[in-house]
Amino acid sequence: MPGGSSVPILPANLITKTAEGTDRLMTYESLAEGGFASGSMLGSGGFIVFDEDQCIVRNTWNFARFYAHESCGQCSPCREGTGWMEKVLRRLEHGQGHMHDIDLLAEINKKIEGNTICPLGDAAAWPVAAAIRHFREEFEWHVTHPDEAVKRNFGIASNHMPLV
Amino acid sequence: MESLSNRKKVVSNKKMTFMEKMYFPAIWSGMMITLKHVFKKHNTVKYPEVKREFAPVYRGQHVLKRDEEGRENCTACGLCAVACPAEAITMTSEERKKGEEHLYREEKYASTYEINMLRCIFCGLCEEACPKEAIFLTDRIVPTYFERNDFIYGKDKLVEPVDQRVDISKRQLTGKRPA
Amino acid sequence: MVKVIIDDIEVEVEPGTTILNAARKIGGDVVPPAMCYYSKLQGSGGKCRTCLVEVAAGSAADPRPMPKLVASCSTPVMDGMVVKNKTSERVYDNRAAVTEFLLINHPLDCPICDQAGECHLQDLGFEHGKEGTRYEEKRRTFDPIDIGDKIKLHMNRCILCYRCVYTANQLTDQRVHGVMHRGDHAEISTYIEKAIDNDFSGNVIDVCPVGALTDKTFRFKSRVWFLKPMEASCECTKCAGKAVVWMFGDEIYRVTGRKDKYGEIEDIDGKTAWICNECRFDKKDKTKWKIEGPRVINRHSVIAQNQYVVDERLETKKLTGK
Repeated sequence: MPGGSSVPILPANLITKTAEGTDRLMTYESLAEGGFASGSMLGSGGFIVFDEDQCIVRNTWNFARFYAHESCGQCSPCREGTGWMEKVLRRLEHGQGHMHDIDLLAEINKKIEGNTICPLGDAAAWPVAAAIRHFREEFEWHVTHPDEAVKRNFGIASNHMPLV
Repeated sequence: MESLSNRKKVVSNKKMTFMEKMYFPAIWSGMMITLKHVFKKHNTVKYPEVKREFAPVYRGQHVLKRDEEGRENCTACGLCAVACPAEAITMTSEERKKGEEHLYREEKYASTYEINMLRCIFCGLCEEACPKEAIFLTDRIVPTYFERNDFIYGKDKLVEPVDQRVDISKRQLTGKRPA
Repeated sequence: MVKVIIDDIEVEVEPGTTILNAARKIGGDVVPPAMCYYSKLQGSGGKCRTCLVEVAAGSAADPRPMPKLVASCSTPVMDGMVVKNKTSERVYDNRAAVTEFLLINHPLDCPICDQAGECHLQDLGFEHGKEGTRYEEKRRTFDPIDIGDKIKLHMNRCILCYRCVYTANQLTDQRVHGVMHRGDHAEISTYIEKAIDNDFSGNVIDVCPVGALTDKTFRFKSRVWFLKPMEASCECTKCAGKAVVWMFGDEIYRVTGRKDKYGEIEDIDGKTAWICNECRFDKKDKTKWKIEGPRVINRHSVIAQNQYVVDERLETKKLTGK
């Protein structure tokens, strides 16, 4: 995840190589290649690396929680949208989600993005949208395996704050 | 001028023939029709000994429903009164006080609710307007009285008693919107 | 003067006018809905995002379209700007989304709410809302609070438009009313429920687009569509005394300011006709008011329902076009 928590997350194959097959460099231009479909942004310049044990849903929820907490509450798409997204992701992570929740999340994202006063709304929407775009099967796994989703949560986030 | 509806008939005053002047054949054929109907199935029922079955959406006397816990559904929103084409409904509202939560479902309730059954045309628009599923028309018939004032039904006659619920499940099924 | 085209209608406005006010100059259904913008309050607007419009061409000098939808209440017009409101599919979609966002934490207790019938959120929901909800969680709830002895705050219904905060700031001497917390648990508060005792604090009721702030002297007394709004004036030392009294028979049920078709208090003699608390809450006696005549109400409003009396002034308006 290049550029801090507010930019689209990329899977390993897209962070090393662009969609066209050229090498990805840690520059603003190279990371932006391919737009949001297969690219990302360098943003603040810091980056987060997740290994394959990390739960994407868990991390996405973590980001959403952060943005819901940080939303100032002035404009309605951000105030209501970030809170809503956080609740849906919390449900998914706790194994209480449905398949239509994933589409709902994608839809909420699209409606927050660009409709807010400040870019916090965009920043809240992009990581969630990208996580669904690139790691949809992980979200689906949380819906189809609700019990395992609660018990088997690998990675740092789980150690820090276990679900059960 | 030619009639546009094509249903105009010109009245003629023609001379009757000899057979027509006799009248008896015409009376005879008329009596035969009457006789035929004596043996046919009757179209009327002998009310009140026999009662006709009502359609599930029959619109008779109103009922103000309570929910499962026995609390009144009506919140005195006034939509029935504004929908009523006959201006038959009137009400006053009051705020629910502490300790009355078991009586009224929402924080506002109708302290009085009157339907003038003489004005009511039983069109069912109040039932359609109600957002709280509180008012329904039932298959009960409003009786007759000698005084006009008796036709003004207050809450005592309209709200269903807790132990004698009025079944409106049939009309609820017919009115449901498709999901 | 600059020329702008809104929904294929050209209009000339002063430089620095916002898109929303340019659209209001045209009038009709070109005007985007506004929940938070209030032209009489400085600094309001930009928050609710229901007035979003698409700018198809930025200006004559730079005709590129703007990538994002812009809030029409806070974006000034440029010469040669082309704006799309109701002709744009994107605007409609996003407005529907904003409506959904506003409604997910709204209790939808319109049958109880005193604002029903003159509520902007109802109008917005009627035009842009969906029938069902996709929100499965529990809605945010608060207990109703008394702000002073005349105003009731239902925080459940609040859409955080900040209009009342600006009113408290700009109309009253000392502000004891603001927004606490942030994000989706932000709430309007008077700092530990401190009562507002100011002569003009009652105007927060008039500016509230929803039923969050309501008049306690009118609470649950009747529904607005059963009352007859009459223009009335009185001798008042604190305010202009021009108001609308809502009558039921010979009784005055409530008093409000004179609101125009956008729900804003009208200007009378060049001054916004805010009314004071004494006129609003205490003068419920018909003898204290000089009734001038019926208030013109939009024919499509529920308030105009079942009022069979022909409004003569409305008829002459139709005939003369004035």
